[in-house]
Amino acid sequence: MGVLGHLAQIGWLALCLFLAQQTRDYAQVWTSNPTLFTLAAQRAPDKPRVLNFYGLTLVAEGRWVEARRAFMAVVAHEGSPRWDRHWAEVGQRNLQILEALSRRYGVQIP
Amino acid sequence: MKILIIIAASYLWAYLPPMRAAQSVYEDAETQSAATTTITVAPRTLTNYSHALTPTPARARLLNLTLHTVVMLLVCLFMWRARWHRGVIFTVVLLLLLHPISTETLMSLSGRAELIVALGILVTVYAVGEAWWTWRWIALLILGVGITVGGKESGAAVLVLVVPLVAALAIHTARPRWARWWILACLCGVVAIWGAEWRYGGLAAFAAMGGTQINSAFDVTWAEWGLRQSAAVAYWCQSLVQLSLLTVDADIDRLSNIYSVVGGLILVALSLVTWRTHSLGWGLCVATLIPRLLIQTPGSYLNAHQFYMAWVGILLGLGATLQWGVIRCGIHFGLSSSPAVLPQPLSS
Repeated sequence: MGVLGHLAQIGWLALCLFLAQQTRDYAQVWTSNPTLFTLAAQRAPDKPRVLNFYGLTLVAEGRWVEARRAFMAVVAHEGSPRWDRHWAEVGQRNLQILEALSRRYGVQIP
Repeated sequence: MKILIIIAASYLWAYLPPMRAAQSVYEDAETQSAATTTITVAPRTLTNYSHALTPTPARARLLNLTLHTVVMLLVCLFMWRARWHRGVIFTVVLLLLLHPISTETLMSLSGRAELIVALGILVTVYAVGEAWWTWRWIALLILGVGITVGGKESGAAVLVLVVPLVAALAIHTARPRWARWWILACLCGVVAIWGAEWRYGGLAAFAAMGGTQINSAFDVTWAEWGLRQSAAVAYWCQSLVQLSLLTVDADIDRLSNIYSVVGGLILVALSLVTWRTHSLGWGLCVATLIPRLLIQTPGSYLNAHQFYMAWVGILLGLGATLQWGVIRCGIHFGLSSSPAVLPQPLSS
């Protein structure tokens, strides 16, 4: 096997290790909702559906301030594009529920 | 052998720890709620049955891993029968097992249906590529179609698109004169229409069922529908190279119109390549993406796990192209003793 053959083998092994690492990292993201939607919110920061799910995971973690910010971002879209208007309504509803929760437990959300 | 061990070890290293640590994510609970312990003549019956077998997130993902491995073995069977170069086979296996585009399919319960559909399509393709006019292969063909439709409603596309495509592409050297591809295509079309009428009350009702209701998208024009979905095709093709684009819910609405044009061009180009080269892989990619353009509405775009079968097709197409490169251009894989022979038709 010549130099070209050895180089091909090294390149092939490097590709194998690179893909394995990338896949492992991305599979770790899929192990829980917080990790999944944190990444989703980073990669699609303007998508109402993603922000809604992200907001819900934040509520579950008790991070109400950030959750409120996420729901407000959803509402700010006002259903643009128009086939996402359902998610703006869901965001509005989640915001109301969050404010009701904060009143009930006496937590101030700035 | 060393190469196979490296791939297998990397595959298990990449997936097993996250699978063991996985919790129920995104739509998993909703998907799991459809689990049933009985198999009936209904869409997704195999998928729902398989969910009942795997009540915990870790078990569900392990079954996905097993199904993905079986899909890989079937893909290997095609490549082995086509007598592809060992380096080409290893490259396809490497990408199929380790590329993160498959991660969503393996790590979510929604991916189960896609895995079963892929399994059914590959069994069907294998049957049609052989002597499909004989009883033995007809039985396998029916089994393949049954698995596909039992996996997901959209698996019915295998009848009207994949079967005629493979029958037209496969070169059968000793077939009877009446065994033409269009005869099989007509038969499949009749069965598909009859099945839709009998089970769902018509084609329109069949198209409107499932999670993406066509009638929920009244205010969407056909242009928006087609252009947005073709943008999704371009996005996922780009994510095959640019891995940082991978996400559970890509923001297709924010993509520029260039993506729509590129996505459309990709599909047209792949159709032309399939027509000119008789490439099964590129054809499978187109045949599994086209129904998605029709079924998915704006707001419910093609996602990574729905791209699974198209990815298998892309890999087979890539493998065919590499095989051509091995023969014509002497591409070197660093494997000294591999024979480079001309590819054989599916039924040689």
